[in-house]
Amino acid sequence: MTPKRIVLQGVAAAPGQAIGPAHRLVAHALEVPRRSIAPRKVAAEIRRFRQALSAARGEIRELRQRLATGGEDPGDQILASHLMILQDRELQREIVEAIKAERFHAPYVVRRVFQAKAHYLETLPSELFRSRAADIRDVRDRLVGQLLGRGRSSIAHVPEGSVLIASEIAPSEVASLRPERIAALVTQRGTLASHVTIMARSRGVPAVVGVGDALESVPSGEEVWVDGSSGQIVVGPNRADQRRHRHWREREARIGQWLTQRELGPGRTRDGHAIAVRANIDRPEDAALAAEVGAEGVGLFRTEFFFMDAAAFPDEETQAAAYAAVLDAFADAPVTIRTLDLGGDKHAALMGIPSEENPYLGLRGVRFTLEHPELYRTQLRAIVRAGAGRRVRILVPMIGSLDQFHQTRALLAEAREQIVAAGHAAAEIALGPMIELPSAVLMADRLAQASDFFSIGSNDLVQYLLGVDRNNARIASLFSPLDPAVLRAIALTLRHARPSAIPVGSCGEMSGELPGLLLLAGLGIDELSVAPFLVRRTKAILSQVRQRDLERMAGRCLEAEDRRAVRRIVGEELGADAQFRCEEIDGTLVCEWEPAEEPGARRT
Amino acid sequence: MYEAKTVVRNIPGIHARPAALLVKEASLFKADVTLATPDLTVNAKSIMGVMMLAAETGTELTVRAEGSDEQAAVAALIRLVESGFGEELGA
Repeated sequence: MTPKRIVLQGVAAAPGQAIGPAHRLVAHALEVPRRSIAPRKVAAEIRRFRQALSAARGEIRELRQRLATGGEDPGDQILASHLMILQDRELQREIVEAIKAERFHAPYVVRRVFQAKAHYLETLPSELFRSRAADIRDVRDRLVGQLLGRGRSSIAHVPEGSVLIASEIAPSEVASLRPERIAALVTQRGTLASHVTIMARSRGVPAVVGVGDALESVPSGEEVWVDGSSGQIVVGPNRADQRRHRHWREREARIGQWLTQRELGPGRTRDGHAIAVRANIDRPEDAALAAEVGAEGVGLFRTEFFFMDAAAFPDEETQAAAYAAVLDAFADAPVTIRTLDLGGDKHAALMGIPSEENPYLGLRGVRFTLEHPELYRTQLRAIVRAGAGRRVRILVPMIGSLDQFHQTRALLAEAREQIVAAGHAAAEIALGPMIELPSAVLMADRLAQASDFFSIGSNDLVQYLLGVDRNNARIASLFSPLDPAVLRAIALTLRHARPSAIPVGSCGEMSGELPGLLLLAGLGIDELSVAPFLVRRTKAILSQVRQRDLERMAGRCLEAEDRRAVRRIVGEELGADAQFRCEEIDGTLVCEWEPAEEPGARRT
Repeated sequence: MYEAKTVVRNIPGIHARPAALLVKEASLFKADVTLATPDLTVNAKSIMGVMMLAAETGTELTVRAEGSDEQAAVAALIRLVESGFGEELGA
């Protein structure tokens, strides 16, 4: 009997592909029977409890030492906070009193007391505080595990090369992730804001989260293929899947080889058309990597991740130092710093912003910062300080009207005055809006007159334009950057920007995917910003195509009636070129590139 | 007994880091110290307690202490809350 092949869809949390045997992490609810103890045994049980506390604390200390990642690492901070819970005297008193009064054994009492607190947290309106329930459950399980003499199925004991699957992975377990041992991470719950996502990305492990209940049916040992870039999982991959994965691995190796043998200068097509290729970064630490791979500056420095890691809004000094560190990595090339883009569900969870009914249409981006002018001013001042003598640009997210943009300009001017008055050198700063709201597209001509540059945020533009929530599994398939409406919106933006002679760039995921990249180039984008690991590949692809071919393809797509027509056109155009291979998989056009032996070779 | 009221000023409120700072500060004093919001009163020396407080920006907080150094304890905690724990202020 052929094993059943099941395709599951989750949220793409950390990029990369992997195949391996599933290893299911044991569920956290350790079976804890309710057992009474005789009055004369109470003292001994309390002693046992204290010993377990001490052992649990030791376990955490040892884990921290083993990881040796140090103070700033989010993993270490999680463990530090767990240690504090295990040192809480009042909590210990509460448990000891309960053991004495009720005379149930320690594991039961511990479980009940912790569970009550986790449950209380889960009823709170703010997502930030709610998410702490996971930490309480984590400490509970560690303590109960000590009392029952049962180690939890720890990540350290997972067979090498496994695809780890779980309902959710405890924060402390994620913290102790060893990327060499794990092929990929897949969870039932979790969002892009979860510890799992953040840690997987920082450790380079492909991950898919929020797969939902369907994941429950996947047993340990079953072979699983995971694509952290698309969020797709195939349980029981068949020969075709295996072949596709093998080709992917082989192609990655060949491309890697080809790339290492080439000196890739600034982004340029074969017929000499320049398109700057910059990097998207989340943390100051990523800047050095971006410079190493030859990024022509930073097209998007997302400052909210920096804030979230710090678990607090850093002050002007701290921010200025971080921005300066990024600017230091790029002597001449522009660095684009996006002001705080908070709001929307994923950030509300971490920043404790009161959850909204409609977070994507709520107080986020520039709306949020204009509502918190002190915060905004601090960030602007920090950027002005750090940027003295350098090419720095400020990108403003979620601009929907000229009014918001003018207000930001005024605040920026104020910030410069304050910095100069304080005796520091102040930079001339280019200011530009993110084009992601349809209203910005329609007002782009007037916005262009007031701006120094544009950056098209393709992810959100597609969402707002097509009215699709990509986190909603029921209609996520409607989300497509290749929709002709999206292409027209981008073309319109470019057309509106031309008279003002400002550069227009794109920083969303569209530039990281093959059809999207080539269409953006063909539509006339001046610069692209992609993840650091895509910089070299993007330059390489551009160097192997001709701008006039891309313009022709884009022009045809602008006349297309629907996505199917767009896919057909792209498939046709790229299909004629030996270095591209396109395939329609589940209604999506999947294109792959591999450098041809002779550039420009046509397929016969 | 000594008490004083204040308002949580920093964004997003008394989350992990501020909670830890409050507990560390409160633990330096001999007095028994409690923190109270309109909904809940907790032991300021207990991290679990302060986590339960889940006080967001703008929440009114009462710091109460009983013991030999009660005034110093209240003053120190009020100062800590009002400084915004070194974070960005929102209220």
